[in-house]
Amino acid sequence: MKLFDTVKGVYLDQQKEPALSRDIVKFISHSENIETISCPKVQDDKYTLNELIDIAKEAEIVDDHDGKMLYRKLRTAKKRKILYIIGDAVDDEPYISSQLNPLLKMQEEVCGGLKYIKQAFDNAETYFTVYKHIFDIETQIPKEIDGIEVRKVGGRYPVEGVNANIQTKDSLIIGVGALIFLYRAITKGEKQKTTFITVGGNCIGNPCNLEVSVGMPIMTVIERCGLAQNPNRIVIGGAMAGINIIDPEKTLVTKYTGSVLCFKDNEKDRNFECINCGRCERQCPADLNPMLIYKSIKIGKDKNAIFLGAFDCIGCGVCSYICPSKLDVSYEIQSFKQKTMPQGGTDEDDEA
Amino acid sequence: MTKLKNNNPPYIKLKDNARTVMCDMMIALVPLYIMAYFYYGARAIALGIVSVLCCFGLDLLLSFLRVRKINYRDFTSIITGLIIPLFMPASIHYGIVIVADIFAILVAKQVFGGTGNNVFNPAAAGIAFATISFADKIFMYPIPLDAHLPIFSNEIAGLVQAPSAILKFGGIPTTEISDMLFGNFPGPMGATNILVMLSCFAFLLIRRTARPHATVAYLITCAILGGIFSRADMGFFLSSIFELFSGTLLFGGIYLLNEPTTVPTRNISKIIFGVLAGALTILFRHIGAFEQQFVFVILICNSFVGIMDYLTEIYYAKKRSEAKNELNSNQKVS
Repeated sequence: MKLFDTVKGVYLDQQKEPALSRDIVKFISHSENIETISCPKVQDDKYTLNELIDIAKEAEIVDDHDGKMLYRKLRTAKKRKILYIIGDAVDDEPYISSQLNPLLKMQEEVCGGLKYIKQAFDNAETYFTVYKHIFDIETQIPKEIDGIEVRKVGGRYPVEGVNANIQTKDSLIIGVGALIFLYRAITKGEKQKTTFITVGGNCIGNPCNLEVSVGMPIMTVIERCGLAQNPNRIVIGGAMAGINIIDPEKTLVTKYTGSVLCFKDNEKDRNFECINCGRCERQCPADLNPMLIYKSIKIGKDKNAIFLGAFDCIGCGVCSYICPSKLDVSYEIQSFKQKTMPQGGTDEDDEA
Repeated sequence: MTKLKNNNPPYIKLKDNARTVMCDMMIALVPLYIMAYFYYGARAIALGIVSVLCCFGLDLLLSFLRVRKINYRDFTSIITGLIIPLFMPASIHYGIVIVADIFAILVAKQVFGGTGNNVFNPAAAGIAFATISFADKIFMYPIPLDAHLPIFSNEIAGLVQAPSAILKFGGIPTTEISDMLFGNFPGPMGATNILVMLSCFAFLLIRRTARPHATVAYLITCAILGGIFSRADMGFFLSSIFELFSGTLLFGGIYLLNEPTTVPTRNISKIIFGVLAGALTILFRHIGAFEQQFVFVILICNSFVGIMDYLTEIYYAKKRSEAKNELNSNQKVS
C-alpha cells in the first residue's frame, strides 16, 4: 500500500570542514633503505594492460574504494569489455574526506594515473564521481578537471548512496588514492609505503588530511593533530560501521585504515528507556519495526523477534543513529542474529 | 589519556535527544496557559504550577520507592501535569486537581511500569476519575473577561454552563462563531481557544514530533458524522462546526492522540485508530451520560492498540514472504 509512503533513509550530518579545505600534510617516518621498482621504458608513454598489471603488482598498490589489490582488479577486468572507467571520490560518511581532498589538491597526479589506465583500455570513457549533499563545504568543486568530467551523485544513507556506486558489467571503479600511487610508480618508480587518512572528530584541535607512512602508531598521528579534550572513544574505518580501538599506542596505521576519529559524548544522556516515539520505524529501509524487535529481544521472546523480521535486517544503523534515547538498537539486533541464525551446512539450514 | 570504553557501531548519533521530544510538547502547551491568564486571571497559572509540582514530585518519589534509577531529566510527568488543569474550569477547587494528579501518576502510570510502559494515557485516566467523582463541579464554568477569580480561595459564585450542555439538551447554542474561534465563551480552560490550538498543532507538525495521520482522520470522521447525525435542527454545515468547536474534542485530538507511548506506530494503524476514536466520540455524544466524554473514548481505544499493532505486523510479514517467494521463483527460472 503506497498511499502514504515516503523515501526511506536519512541525510547524515556531514561535518567535513575544516579538514576538507586544508592542504594535505605529509607525515612520513624516514627509513634507511629506499626500495624502487623497475619500470620498462615505452615509446609515446603508452602502457599495455599487462604491463600495468605487472607495475601494480610490484608496487603493492591497494585500492581504497573497496580494499582489494589493484593488480587483481585489473586482471579480472581483462575478461570483460570495459566502456566506462570511473575515478571514485564519493565520501558519503561524516567527517571523512580522504578521497575528495586529494582530488582537489593533487590534480596533476590523479589525472595522469587515470589517463594511463584509459589508454590501456582502448580509450574508454572516463569521469569522476563526487557526493552531492555536503552542505557546509567552503571550496567549490569544479565541473571538470584537466578535461575529465566531474559528476555529482546523491542519495540518502544507506539506500541510494550505495546504489550509485555499484560496479556494473561494463564499468570499472578505481579509488583516487590508487591512481596517485600508480602515477608515482610509473614516473618515479616508487612503491606504495604511505596512505591517505582523515583525522577528525569533536576532540581534535586541528582536523586535517594526512599522508601517513604505514606502520605508524595511532597515538602519534593523534598527537600530531592535537587534542582539545580527552576522548571517550577512538574509531578507525568510518563512523557508521568502523572498528572501536582500546589501545592507541599499539594499534598501527595500515593501508586499509581510511580515517581516525575521536569522540566525546555526555554520559547523562544514556539513562532513558524507549519512549515509543516511532522515529526508527519511519526511516527503516527494510520496512521493519525496530522498536518492537528490540523490546522482544530484551524480554527474551525469540520467536516473536523472528516473526517480526529480525533476520531481514540489513545492518545499516539508521535506527541507532536517529534514536533520541541513544539506545543501541542496531547492535542488539545484529548480535541476536549471529547467535540465533542457523549456520550454512547444518541440519537446521535444510529446515529454514 | 582517560580509560577508553567499548562501544557499539554506529559511533555518531543525531543531536536530538529525548528531552527535545518532550520539550516540544511543553512548548506547544504554554500558549494555552497564556490565553487562560488573559481571560481568567492569575488563578489559571497558579493551578498549572500546583499540578506540575504535584505530578513531578510524586513521580520521583514513586520511582525511588520502586527501587529504580531516578532520572531527573524525565519530563513526561510534567506534560501530564500541564494537560490536566486544561480540561477543567478555571474556578475549580485545588483539591480536585490534586486528586486527579494522584490517580493519574499512581494508578495509570507507575503501576504499569513507569515511563514508556504505560498502556493507558495517564492524563485521560486522571480526568475520568475526577469526572465520575465530582460530576456537578466539573461542568460549571466562569464567564471569560468578567470573572475576577480569587487566586487561592475556593469559594466562587456566578458560574454558567457551556455550549456543549445546550447541545446535549437538544438546543442550538447562541454563541457567535467568531467568538468561538478566539475563545471568548465559557468552557474548559484550555479547550476554548481554537485558533491557538491549531497553530500549536502546525508547530508540532513542522518539528516532526507529531504526525498528521491520526488527528486528521479523527477530525474528518467527526465532521462528517457530526454533520449527518445532528442533535438539533441545524443543517449539515452548522451542526458539524458546532460539534467540532464545543467541548474537548479538538484539544484531545491534538494533544492526547499524539502521545507517543499509547498510540500505534505504523501510519495505517494510526488512521484506523483516528477513525475509531471519531466514530465513538459522536456515538457517546448522543447516548452518553456526561456532556464531555472524550477521555472515556480514548481509554477504550488505548486498550485496542496492542491488537492493532499485532495485525499490522502480520500484514507486513505476509508482504515480506511474498516478495521473497517471488525473488526465489525468478531466480529459478533465469
